[in-house]
Amino acid sequence: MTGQAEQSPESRPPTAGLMARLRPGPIGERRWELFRANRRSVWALWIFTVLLVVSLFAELIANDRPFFVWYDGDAYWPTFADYLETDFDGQFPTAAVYRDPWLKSHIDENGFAIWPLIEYHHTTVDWGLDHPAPAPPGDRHILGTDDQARDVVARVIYGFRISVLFGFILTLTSAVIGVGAGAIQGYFGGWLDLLLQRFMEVWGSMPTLYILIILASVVEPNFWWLLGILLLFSWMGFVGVVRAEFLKTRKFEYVRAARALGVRDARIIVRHVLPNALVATITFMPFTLAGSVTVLTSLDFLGFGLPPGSPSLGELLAQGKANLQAPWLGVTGFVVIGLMLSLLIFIGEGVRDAFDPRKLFR
Amino acid sequence: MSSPILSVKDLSISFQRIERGVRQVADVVRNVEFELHAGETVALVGESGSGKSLTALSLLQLLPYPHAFHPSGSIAYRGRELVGAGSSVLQEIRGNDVSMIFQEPMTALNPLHVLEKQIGESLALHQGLVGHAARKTICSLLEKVGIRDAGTRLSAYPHQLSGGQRQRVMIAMALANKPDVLIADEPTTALDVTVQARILDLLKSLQLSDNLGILLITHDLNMVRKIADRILVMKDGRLVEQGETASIFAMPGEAYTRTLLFAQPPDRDPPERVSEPVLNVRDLRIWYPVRKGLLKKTVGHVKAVNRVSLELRPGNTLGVVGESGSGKTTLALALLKLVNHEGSVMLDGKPASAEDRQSIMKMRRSMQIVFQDPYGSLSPRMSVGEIVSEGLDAHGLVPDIRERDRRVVDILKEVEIDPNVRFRYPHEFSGGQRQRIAIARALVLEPRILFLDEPTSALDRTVQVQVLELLNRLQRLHGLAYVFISHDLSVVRAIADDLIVMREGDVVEQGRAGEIFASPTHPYTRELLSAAFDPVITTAVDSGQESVDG
Repeated sequence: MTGQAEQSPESRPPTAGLMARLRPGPIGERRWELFRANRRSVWALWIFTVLLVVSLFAELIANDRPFFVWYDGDAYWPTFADYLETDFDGQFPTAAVYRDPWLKSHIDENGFAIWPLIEYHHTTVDWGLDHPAPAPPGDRHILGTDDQARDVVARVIYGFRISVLFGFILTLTSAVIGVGAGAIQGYFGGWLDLLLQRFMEVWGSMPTLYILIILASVVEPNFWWLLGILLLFSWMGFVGVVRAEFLKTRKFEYVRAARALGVRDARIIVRHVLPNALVATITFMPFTLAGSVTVLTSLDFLGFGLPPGSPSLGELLAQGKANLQAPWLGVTGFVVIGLMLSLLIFIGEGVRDAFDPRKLFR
Repeated sequence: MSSPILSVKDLSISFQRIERGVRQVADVVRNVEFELHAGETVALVGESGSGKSLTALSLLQLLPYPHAFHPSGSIAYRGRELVGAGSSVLQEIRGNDVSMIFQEPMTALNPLHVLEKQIGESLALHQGLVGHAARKTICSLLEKVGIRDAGTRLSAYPHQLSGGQRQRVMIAMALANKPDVLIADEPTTALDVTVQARILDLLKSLQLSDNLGILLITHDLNMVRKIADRILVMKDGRLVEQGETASIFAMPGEAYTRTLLFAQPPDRDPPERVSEPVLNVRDLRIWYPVRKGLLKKTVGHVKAVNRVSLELRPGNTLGVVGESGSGKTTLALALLKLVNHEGSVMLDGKPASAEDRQSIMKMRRSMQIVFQDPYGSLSPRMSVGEIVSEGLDAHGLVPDIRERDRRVVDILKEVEIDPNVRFRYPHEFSGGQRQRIAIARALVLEPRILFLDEPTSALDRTVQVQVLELLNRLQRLHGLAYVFISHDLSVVRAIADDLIVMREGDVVEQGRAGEIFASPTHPYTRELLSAAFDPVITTAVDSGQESVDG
C-alpha cells in the first residue's frame, strides 16, 4: 500500500484500474506478509524453486553431449543441434557419440569441449564400468548407477523434473475443470447440481488403477495418456469446496446487488463469487500437487506408469527394491521423494496460513 | 443507596499486536468509571466503535487476553477484584453472580442442544443440580421468562423457537443461578419492535422481582428512555457524560450527547402529487407450493406475499413496514425480478413481464436496490471504482474508460464521498460510507425507482440521519421514487408519503402515511405503533402474549 499512498490517486490515469488488478491489493500484501512469517515455508519455497529451475535446465547439467565444442576454428552446440560424426572428420555419417574415446580425444586435439557437470544423460548406458551394474557410488558416478548402468544422479534430475511437471500440469488442469464444475453446480444449484453430484459419486467409485492396467494392455501409456486418465478422476477433488463456497456466496447481498444491476451470470461468477472460492482452491493446491506427484511415483513403482526407459523416481524405487544389494538406489529414491514432498507440504502450510481468514483480518 | 455491587474504576483497555517485530498498541477504552447498584438499570450508550461492548466484556474478563490488556483500572464485584483474577475466581462469578445476554440469540445458543441441556449446563456447573431437580428448576425458569408449556418445550431445539422466544431462553439461562448483575449487550437489536417491547417488559419485571442490577449496552435511545435509571455516554473509548436518565434527556451536558439523543430523521417537504404512477402493481403474489407425498402433490401454499397492489409516483416514497418474515424484502425482490411471482406489474404504463434479456435489462436500468447490510452488499475484492462502475459495464454503457471514470467521480461526489478513494477497497470504509457507495452503485444507472431495503438499520443514529438527508436530497434532485422498507417506524414516519403495513405476507393496512400514523385502523398497526413510540408499561410477565412472538 505504501506505493499507493505516496501517489495521489487523482493524478493517476483511469487505466490505473487495470494496473490495480495486476498489482497485489492490500489483501494480497497481507497474505504475502503472513506467508513470510512462516520461515520454514519461505525456505522450502526457495529450495524448491532452485531445484525446479535447475532441473528445468537438466540438459545443460546432465548430458552425454558437451555444451559447446570448438573444433577446427568452428563453434558447435551439440546440446541444441545434432551433428554427424563426419562433421568432426569421423568416418561414418552417423550421429556423433561425444563420449566415444576416439571422438573425445580427437576433439581435444583440434580444439576443446565444454562438458556439463555430469557427463551422462538419463538414457546413457555407461559401457566402461569397472563394476557389474548396479555400480556403487564412486568418482565416476557420484551416486552410483542403476542395474542398467545408467547414472543415478542424471536419472534423479530428469525424474524430478518429470514428476514436478506432471504434478503441476495435473493439478492445474484438474483445478480448472474442478473449479468450473463446482462453480456451475454451486451457482445454479437445483437439478443440475443434483445430477452432477450423483454422476460424480458414480464416476468417483471407478477403480482408477484397474482402468490404467486395462489401458496399459491396449496402448503404451505415455506422459499424456497418464495425465489424461488421472485427470478423469482427479478434478473431483476440487468440486466439493468450490461448490460449497458458491452455494454460500450466491446468497450474499453483493451478488444480489450485481444481479439487480443486470450483470450476466458468467460475469457474476467470475468477478464476485470465484475470488471467494479461489481461496479454498489455492489453499488445497500444494497438497494436491504433492498428491499428484505421489500418484505418478506409485504407478511407476508398480510398473503401470511412464514407458520403460523414462527417468522416474518411482522406477528408481522399484530398482532399489529389486536390488537390495545396492542400497544407494533405494536410499537415493527415498531421500529425493521425501525431500520433494516435504518441501511441497511446507510450502502448502505457508500458503494455508496466508489464506487463513482468521489470521488475515486480525 | 447502599454500596454498589459492581464498581469500575479508571478502567482502560488496550490491544497489542506484533507486526514486523514491532509491538503496536491501540488504546480502545480509557479511564472509564462507573458503579452499578442492586435494582438499578444503567444504560451504556454510544455509537458503534465507542468501546461500550468492550467495556461490558471486560467486566467478566472475556476479552481475548493477552492480546487485550488493561493498562490501568479495577473492576470490583462486591469488593472482589476481577482484573487479573485467576480463572477459578472468574468461573465462580461468571454466570453465577454476573450473567450476560448477547445480541444475537441464534448464535448465542448452541444449535445442537435442546433447551433443557442449554439451561441445565450452568445449573449443573454452579449448583450441582442434575436430573429431576434440575428439570423442575428449568421449567420454573422458562415459565418465569414467559415461555408457556415449558414442560413440553424442554426438548425443543433453538431453531424451533422464534427470535423472541430464543431471547427469552437466553435470559432464562442468564438468570438460572440468580445473579445480582445482568449485563445485556444489545439484547433486543435483532428483534422486531413488538417483541422488543415485550422483552423490555420482561427485563423490567424481573429486575423488580429479583432486585437485579442491569447494565444495558445499546444504541437504541428510545429503549434507554423507557428502562434505564442512569445513562453513561461513551465516545471514542471515553466516558463523556453520566447521570440520571431524566436529567440527561432534559439537559444533556455535552454536545455529543445532544446529537446522540436528539438526532431526528430530517423533515422533508411533501412532494407534488404527479398523477401518472411510474410503477403500478396489481395483485402480486408469491406463493411457494408445499408438496407432500410420493407424487409431490401440491397440498397448499406458503404465501410469502399475498395479493399486494400498489402505485408508486415519481418523487414519492412508499414505506413498507412489518416485522421480519412479513414479506417486505420478498416483495422488493419480486418487483426487481429476482424472485418469481404472479400478478401484473406495470412500469411506466407498460407491462414489465417480458422475459427476453433485452427488456429485462431495460427494466434493470429503471429499478435499483440498496441493501441493509453495508458490509455484505459490497464485494470485498473489488475497489470502490469497480463496484460503482459495474452497472455501466453490465449494460455496456459508456465504453470509453475515461468517460466512465468521470461518471464514477461525479456519482461519488453526488453521494458525498471523496472521489479520490475510488481505488480503495470497501473494508477501509465505515458503515455510513459504505451505504453511500451502495447508493452510488445503484444511482449510476440513473434509475427511476430505488428500492431501499432497511438502508439505515445497521447504522448509528447520527449516521442514519445523514444518510436520510442524502436520500431526500437525491430524491428532490432526480425525482426518484423510493420504496422504503424498514421496521424502524420513526424513520419511516419521517420519509414515507404512502405506507403499506405487512404481516405474514398480507397487507393489513395501506394508505397515506400521515393518516395511518395519526389514526391506525388495524389492531396490528396500532400494536406496532405503540411498541415503537409509547413509553414502556410494566405488565405481568405471564400475560400470555408469547403466542405473538412466534
